[in-house]
This record gives sequence, structure tokens and C-alpha cells, in this order.
Amino acid sequence: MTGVQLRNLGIRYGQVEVLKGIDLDIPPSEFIVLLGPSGCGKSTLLNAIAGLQDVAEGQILIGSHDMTNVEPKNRGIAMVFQSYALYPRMSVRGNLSFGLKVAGTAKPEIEKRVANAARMLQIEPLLDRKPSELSGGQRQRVAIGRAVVRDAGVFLFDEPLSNLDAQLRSDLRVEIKRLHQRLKSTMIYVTHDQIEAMTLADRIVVMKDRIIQQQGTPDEIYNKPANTFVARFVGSPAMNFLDAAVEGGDVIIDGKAVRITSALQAPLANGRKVIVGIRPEDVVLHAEEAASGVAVEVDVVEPMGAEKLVWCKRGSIGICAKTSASVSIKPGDKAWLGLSEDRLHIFDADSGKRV
Amino acid sequence: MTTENGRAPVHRKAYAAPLSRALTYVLLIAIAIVVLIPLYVMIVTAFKSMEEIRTGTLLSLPHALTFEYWSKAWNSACTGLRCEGLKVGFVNSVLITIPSVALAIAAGAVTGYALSFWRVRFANVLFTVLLIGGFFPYQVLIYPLVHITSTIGLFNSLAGVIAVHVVFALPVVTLLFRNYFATIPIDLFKAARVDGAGYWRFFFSILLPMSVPMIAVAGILQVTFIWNDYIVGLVFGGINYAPMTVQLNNIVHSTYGEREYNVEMAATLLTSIIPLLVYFTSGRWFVRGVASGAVKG
Repeated sequence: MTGVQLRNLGIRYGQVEVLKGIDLDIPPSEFIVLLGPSGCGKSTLLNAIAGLQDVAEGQILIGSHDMTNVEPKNRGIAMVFQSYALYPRMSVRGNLSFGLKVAGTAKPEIEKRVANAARMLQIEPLLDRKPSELSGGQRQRVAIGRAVVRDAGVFLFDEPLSNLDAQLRSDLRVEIKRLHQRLKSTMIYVTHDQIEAMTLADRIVVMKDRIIQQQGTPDEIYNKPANTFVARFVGSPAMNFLDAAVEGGDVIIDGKAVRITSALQAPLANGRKVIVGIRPEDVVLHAEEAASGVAVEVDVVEPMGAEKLVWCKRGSIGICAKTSASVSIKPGDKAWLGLSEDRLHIFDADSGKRV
Repeated sequence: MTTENGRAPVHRKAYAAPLSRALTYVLLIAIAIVVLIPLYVMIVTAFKSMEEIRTGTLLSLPHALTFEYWSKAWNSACTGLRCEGLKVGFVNSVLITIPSVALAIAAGAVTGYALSFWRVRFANVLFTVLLIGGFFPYQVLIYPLVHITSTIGLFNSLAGVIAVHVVFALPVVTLLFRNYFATIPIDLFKAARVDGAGYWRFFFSILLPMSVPMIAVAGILQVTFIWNDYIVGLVFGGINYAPMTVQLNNIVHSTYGEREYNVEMAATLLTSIIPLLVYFTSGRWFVRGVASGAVKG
């Protein structure tokens, strides 16, 4: 099995620095997801690992060999693209076997591998069709098959599901996860979809503005976001953020004191400006007056089947709470919100970093 | 696709008001008549005897159907001193057109490929220079080209005519292919590189099979352009490789005594038959090729 290491990687377009000082250690068989909004440099990073993007400085090691200046075909990688990138004039079989033919693989071996990949991805009946005769989901299966055939140690996925509709996306997501469990190859997966990242990843690398913001397990990313960007980007609906000031062991949010001691590693100086974050599912909504609760007015209610999203406001502050569907509440109602102390995230108001 | 996205399909307004539709048709028919009448006159005249032509009934149908004048134009009309008809010119034109078109497309496609998919140094500068070259009226370049071709021994030869045609065709053919290749997603190129395809492998195995419509467009443009060319053939071909157009001119302009309008008309129609055939048989390809940039999938 093959691991990937990036050492102080820098990429430039002419004079513009696109990526700088990227260090990343991906152990063999890990499923790692590069997550970030568009333009954060995640696809550029993936292309650099593939050898499709020139590197200005630093090193790329694949299976502990220096691959920084090696041709893509010799890196032991396979890649799946968002646009499928199937060869339009070749049949599915032709698409799967093209790379092997170029490499001069013996015919029986090609047939064996193509048959294997086709069975794994359930595209056997499609082998003699042209890409234009396939649906989007089928095309992406073929594209994944083309990667599987290469028998590579490292799979690179560049937003492979972004062109598919919601149903297909979740089907193929499971398929990719199954593929990983079966092949045990290292997989590097780029996406802007936090749900894909949470469900697929052993480890998530969150990127923004060409910088790695945080790396960690999905659990760490979700429960201990390193800064307000990560906290806002991961989770749907997004975390609530409230401006607050520290006073004693409490923060004062819009005149209401909330105890935060257990959310902190060390006590904060009085008067320090902070941002308090809390996820909608950690906001407890009471329809009757509760002494500890913050009084709010219900603005919008979104039923989601099993749950309800309740958007509340207190003056100019908006807070979203997730409640069970059985709670009956309607816009205009009064409600009281409890913010569970141990579920609060405290960020520095200036730097946005977790404190 | 639109319905899949949950959007209602957009209907274009299918019918204009009846009056403006009628006007459109009247106008189109009138223009068609204006264009087609000279063609009609040419065709009927090519079948008429000189006596019949002299009566001045330009639009009347010929009295008898005879291919005598067509045969004369093809076999025995005098082009200057030789009286072997247009067939010599036809052969020359074929000898000039086929290799010129093939070479122009090959060179243009490879150049367009290099300029679009490979980050050639100064690609944009090169492309701009090529385009500027395309805007020069080529009459301006005749004299220097005569010098160049005679220096390297290509003047007055078939190879010389072909070389000059290829050079003149290169800007527009390169432009066509470069712009077509620019519509092809770069991911395809990346996928092929991961699969190990190099410069030529990607070009021949993947790009060229996708380029059939563009090859047709470039082929149609260049066949008609080179077949209809007069000046390059006249200047660079010498007497031995004068194309059909040059010979046609000789027939029309160098007869002594009575002008044989019927033979001249037949000769003209014979000369234009190849470009007409190309248009009629491949118009569909032409339109598809021109529009193919807009169609995905």
C-alpha cells in the first residue's frame, strides 16, 4: 500500500503564489478529503499530486519515492474527474483499456482487468456502448472503472459527484466508500460538499485561501473546529455565531449571561471580545418560559420530516434551533432557548481562532 | 435536460405574424430569383447552338438537347496554343487541390493542437502573428514568394503551387482547429495523460476522432478556395500545372474570330462543378461542424 507525503509544497502561476508551504502526510490506505470552497486551491493540490500541475518548490512523495518531477503515468496513480472526461469516440471497453494499451499490457491481462472492474462497478452490460449513450451516473461509474483498471496505489478524485443529481450522488457516494473498503487503496478526494467529506473521510483537510485551516477526523472537525471558518463551513444548517463579551466566568450575549467555563481550557480575561458558536442541534428550544432560557421570537419554521428547523430572532440577532418534529410552534410565537454550556464553541473575535 | 433540472423548457416563439412571414418569403424568393437567373442563362446557353444564341432569346429553352459544346469545352477547346480542352486543367486542379487540402488540414490541426493543449512558449504571440498573417491580402506576398520559391527551386512546379496554398491556408485552418480544440474540456487531456498518452497518442487516438466535423469544415473551405484559386496557380504553376481556372480564362479570353458563348458557358459550368458538388453533398456536415462548438456531450 502506498502513502503520500507533501513536503513544503509551493505552486505558482507566473508570479502569483497559488499554494505555499503545504505539508501533508497521508498514510497508506487512508481516505482523505480535501474540503474547501471553490478557489481555495484544493483542485490545484490534487493536480500537483497527479503530476498535471508543475510544482515550484517542495516535494511530492508517493510510496516514499520522490515523484515531484515524474510523468503522471509513472506515479502509480489513477484519477477521476468531475466532468467524467471519458474519451467520446471510444466504447466503454475502449475507455477502460486505453491506459493499459498505451502501457503495452498483454491482451489477456487487459481483458481480465477490464472484466474485473466492470463487474465491481456493475457496468458489464454497458461495455460496448459509447459514452454519449450513457446517463450521468453510468458515465461516472465508467470513469471510476477506468481508474480501477489501472490498479493504482493512489486514487485521486476531483469532485467526482458534483455533476450528478442528489439521489445519484448519495448512491455513488456509498459506492465509492465500498470501493475503498474493498481495494484498500489510498484515496485523495476533493470536494466542496461537507456532507461528502463527513461521510467518506477517515480524515478531512479543510482549506481556505490556499491555506490548510484544519486537518482531523470528521469528528474532530465537527466537534472541535479550529476557527470560525471551519465551524461555519462544516455542518448544515451552519453553526450559530453570537458576538459576546467575557465577564467573570460568563459571556454576556445581548445582555444575558451564559456560563462558559466548561467550554474553555483556561479562563478568559474580563472584557475580552469573543464569538460564541453553537450548532442548531445543541440549541434547546422551550415553548414555555424557562428561567435559564433566552427569550426569542420565532421567525421561520422549516419542517424537514424527522426534524424541524426553527429560525428565531432576538433583536438583530438570529439563531437557528433544530427540534423534533413533534414540537408545535409557529412563526410569531415566543420561545426560550437554552444553550448547553458544554456544547459551546468560543472563538476569538479578532482572529476567529478557537480559544 | 431542462426538464430534468426541474425548469420548464423554453419555447421559442414558433410563428411570426402571417403578414411578416409572407413578406419574408416574398423577399427570399425574389433574392433567389436574382441569384438563380444568371445560372439558368448559363445552363441553357451551354446547350444552344450559336445561331440560336444570336437570335437573342436569352431566357428561352434550347431547341435540341446536345452535349456537343460540353464535349468541346472538355476535350478540344483551345487554351492558348494547345487545343486539348479543359480536361488538362481539371487533372492539374485535382493534383493541386488534394495534396494542398490534405497538407493544410494536417498542418493546421497539429498547429492548433499545440497552441491549445500544450503550453507552448509564447503561444499567444505565435497565434497572433499567424492571424495577422491571415489578414494580409495575399497578392501583396506574391512577389516575395516568387523569389523564395525560385531560390529553393520550387517555382513553376506542382510542389511550388501546393506549398504556397498550404502557407496561405495555415492561418484560417489553424484558427478553426485551435478554437474547436479550445471547446474540448481540459479534463479529457488530463485523463489521457494519467493514462499515459503522449503528444501524438492523444492527438491521433482521442482528438482526431472527435474532430471529424471540423475536418469536414476545413476540407470544404479549402477545397472550394483552392479549386477556385486563379492567381496562385497562374503565377506559380507555369504552363504545365495551370489549374482549371487559368485554362478557363484562356478559353474565354483567347479565342479568335467568333466567340463561342455556348462552349464558354459549358466550360465555366464544368469548372465550377466541383465546388458545387462539395457544397451540395456536404452542406449538412458544414453546418454541423460550424455549430459543434455550441453542443456539449
